[in-house]
Amino acid sequence: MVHTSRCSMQILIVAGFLGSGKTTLILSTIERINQLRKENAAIIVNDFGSVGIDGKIMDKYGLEVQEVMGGCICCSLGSFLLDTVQRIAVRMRPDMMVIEPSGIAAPQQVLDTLEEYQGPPIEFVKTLVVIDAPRYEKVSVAMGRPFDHQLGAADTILINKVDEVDQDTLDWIEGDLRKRGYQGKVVPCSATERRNLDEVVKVMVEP
Amino acid sequence: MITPDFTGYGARLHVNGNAPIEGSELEEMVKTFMSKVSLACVDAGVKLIGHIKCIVEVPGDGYLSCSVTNHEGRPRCQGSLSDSSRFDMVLNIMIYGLEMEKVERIVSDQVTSQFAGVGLSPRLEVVEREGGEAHEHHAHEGHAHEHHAHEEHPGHHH
Repeated sequence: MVHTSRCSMQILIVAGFLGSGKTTLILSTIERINQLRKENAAIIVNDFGSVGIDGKIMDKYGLEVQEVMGGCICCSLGSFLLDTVQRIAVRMRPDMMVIEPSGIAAPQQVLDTLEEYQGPPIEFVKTLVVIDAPRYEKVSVAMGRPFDHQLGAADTILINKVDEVDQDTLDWIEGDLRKRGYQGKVVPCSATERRNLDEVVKVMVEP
Repeated sequence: MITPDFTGYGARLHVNGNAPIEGSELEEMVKTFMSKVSLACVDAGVKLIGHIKCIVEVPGDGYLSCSVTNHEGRPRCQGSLSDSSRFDMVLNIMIYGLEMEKVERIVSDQVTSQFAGVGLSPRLEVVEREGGEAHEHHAHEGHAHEHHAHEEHPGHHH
């Protein structure tokens, strides 16, 4: 987690592999977050491709979303992300900004981009990485090192879709995360079944 | 995570009919289409389905979003569609281990069989073609982003 200064905007990066449930998780928690903070969070969505789907879905839920499309915010659109964050920070002065990179993004590179941020003070930048419990083994084997890099950028790992796996599988996933060297907090949850979302919201809003 | 075997495909699909179709029937058509597309990818030898997803809108307020991440062709959907004689779909396919040409053929074949085959008039517009080896994106891992070839032309389309 990157700490800068107090009493200002928090940036929450909700990263994770394709199909891990990032958008659903944001949709399932954002209302509660807004209630707790008494203010609407600004949301930036980086969807794959030039025609976004995730931003459209959030729009259907009545959320105001800034879409960044046509590339990846961890590389080709890094400078555009920076401009967007700075512009929103200056114009809207939100106390929280939620950034959802596409599922192919490397969150560490998004963090590196945000190091160049010049705008109103940031309280902290926190990175959550969402993993897909039923596909964990398949994805981790198929993706290998890039998958480990994604995990390595996480302040907290959210194991999503736990309603689709049994306790033994969940235990095995947590054990494997530790074997891969991840030492941070792990929170099992299910966005669609609204399971353990209070704990998810807590890690989202607390430093 | 872009690897050399990554294929990213995006399309808009516009479907018109002569008479209104019940919303529930439209929803089933979309779910079947998503299921058939993903199963065809599996049959063609896809290594990993990253995400196959769509959002469908009908005139007015109705929408349906569907997502497939498994290899069994089971879509998870949210929303509902009202009766309509037309709808618009945005489709994204992000997969590993299946060439772009095969993906394009699969979508085209399923559009024909699922929509044209029942008397509707579909128009498919491919808006995104991204393949790992044909694209500098595969260098995501292990290089500094400021040296990325995309930097010079953000927002480009393939």
